[in-house]
Amino acid sequence: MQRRRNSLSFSAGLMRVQFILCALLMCSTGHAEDVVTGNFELIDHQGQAVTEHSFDGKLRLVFFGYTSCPDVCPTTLFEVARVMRQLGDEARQIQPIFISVDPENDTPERLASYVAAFHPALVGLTGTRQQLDAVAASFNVTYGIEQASGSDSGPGTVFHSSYLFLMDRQGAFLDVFGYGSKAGVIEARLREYL
Amino acid sequence: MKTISAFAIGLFLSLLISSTAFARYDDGARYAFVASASNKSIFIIDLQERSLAYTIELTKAPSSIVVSDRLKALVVGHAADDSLTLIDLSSAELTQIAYPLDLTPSTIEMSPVGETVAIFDKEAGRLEVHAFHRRAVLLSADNVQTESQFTFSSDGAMIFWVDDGNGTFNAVDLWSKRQSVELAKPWSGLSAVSRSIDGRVAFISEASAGVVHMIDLSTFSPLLKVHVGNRPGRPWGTTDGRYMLVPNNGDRTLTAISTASGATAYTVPTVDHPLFINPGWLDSTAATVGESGDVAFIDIDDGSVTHRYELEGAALDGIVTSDSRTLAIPVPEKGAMVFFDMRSRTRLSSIPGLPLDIGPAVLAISNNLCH
Repeated sequence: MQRRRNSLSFSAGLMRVQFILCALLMCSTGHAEDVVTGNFELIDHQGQAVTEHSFDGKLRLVFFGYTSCPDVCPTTLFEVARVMRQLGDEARQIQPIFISVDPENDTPERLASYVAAFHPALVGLTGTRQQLDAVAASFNVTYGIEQASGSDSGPGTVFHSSYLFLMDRQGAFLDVFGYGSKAGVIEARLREYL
Repeated sequence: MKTISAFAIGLFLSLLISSTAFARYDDGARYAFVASASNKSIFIIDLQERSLAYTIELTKAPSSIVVSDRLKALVVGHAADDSLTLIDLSSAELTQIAYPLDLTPSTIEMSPVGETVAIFDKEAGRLEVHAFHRRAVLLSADNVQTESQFTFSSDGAMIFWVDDGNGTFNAVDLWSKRQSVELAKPWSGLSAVSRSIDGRVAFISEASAGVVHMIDLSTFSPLLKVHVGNRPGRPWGTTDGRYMLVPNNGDRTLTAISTASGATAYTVPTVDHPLFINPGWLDSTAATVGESGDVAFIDIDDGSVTHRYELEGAALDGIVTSDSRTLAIPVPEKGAMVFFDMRSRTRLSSIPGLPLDIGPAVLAISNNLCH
């Protein structure tokens, strides 16, 4: 279910393919109550294959981004780390997860050093483009590469949704926080499920 | 004992007063702002508590406002004396700084990166882009007729506008060059411009022809001409980037255009004179709000209208919170801010008691996409 492309082409053939994909997408998308299913098959920052069931038993805070992100990712992960510290021993019931949508640059090794800078419990995940397309659809988020304006555009920059998801102990959706949500707000909501 | 109690109460009260005095309103996810010209005030709405948090008194009547999360600043336009006031939301005193202009700020629009502001003088048809951190004018353009005819690029480095008098779509790199694309004959009704969320495609409504032009912003070449409803207005993008939602002012409908294919996904009846469209709840739903205060919630994927409401008066531009769950709409006739839950599409409590001339609501963080 590919929802983004690195460059737009409007040749007739591609348009037809895209139209079919869109039609499939429309048929397969549910209503508001079940837009977030939260399924994934990815690899973690240690190179191990994981799914949403790998973290069963723990509440999860899930965020999408990339390690070169200059502002939104580090500030959100900083708030997540603050939540973990504020929860003390109860933080053991929480699994913070960072899913990189930039697999070309975010290798497991790079992810490992990145997540460790925020909190020891933070897990970094990534995968192939196909896997990331599937997890993005599963969480109803978007991501892609934005080409710079102008004819001599460079490699482009990554963009992604900036929601922070709270999932239950089996990986089902509980709540979502917008960018800029403070640790106190997130912690208060989390405590309702501890 | 009585002395200790009095001391304790005094200490508590002083802490309470000082904490109020030092409240900061730079949390872009929490606060929305509405202006009142008659009260010469800005009202700060706490979206978390759904309450009035604070009132900023001004010395001049505000005519428009925008807010920047990056600058932690509120920018207030004063049409009466051609000036702006910049308010530092991170300072305890909410420091106000005067910023004189050479045009009347009928409308101001903050760039997506929050460092530059487009200022539109409707009477003169003039558009300027100012960089506050440099105190510099980056661009001046003439022949802009309405505030719907310009928009920033997603990285804030370019501004796009349509010149209906010449039938052109124009793009200016704020630091260097200008591009122009001829789209229609002069005065054909190029009424509005928007861009896709990923910044790759511009969508320009041509009201008289009932079409939306798609322009590839990497090559500045026309891609498609999409037939929509009668007198299309400004397209609104869903934040997941899948659709551009076009309000058709002539026939009370809304058309969804797939950004991937340019195909029309659906055209459905909505509300009278759609004022704005707010996608929300993870882009599963969109609220269309009409000038007269009728609200219709649409399932974005199939276009079905799931819920309808009538507000107690005419509505103005509202906002959706950054978690995509809460819609807030100012209703000046009732001096109220009305809230809806985007997930359940139900009406929540309102904030009454605001002035009867409150303006549109603005929010520092309303786009749930990181660039």
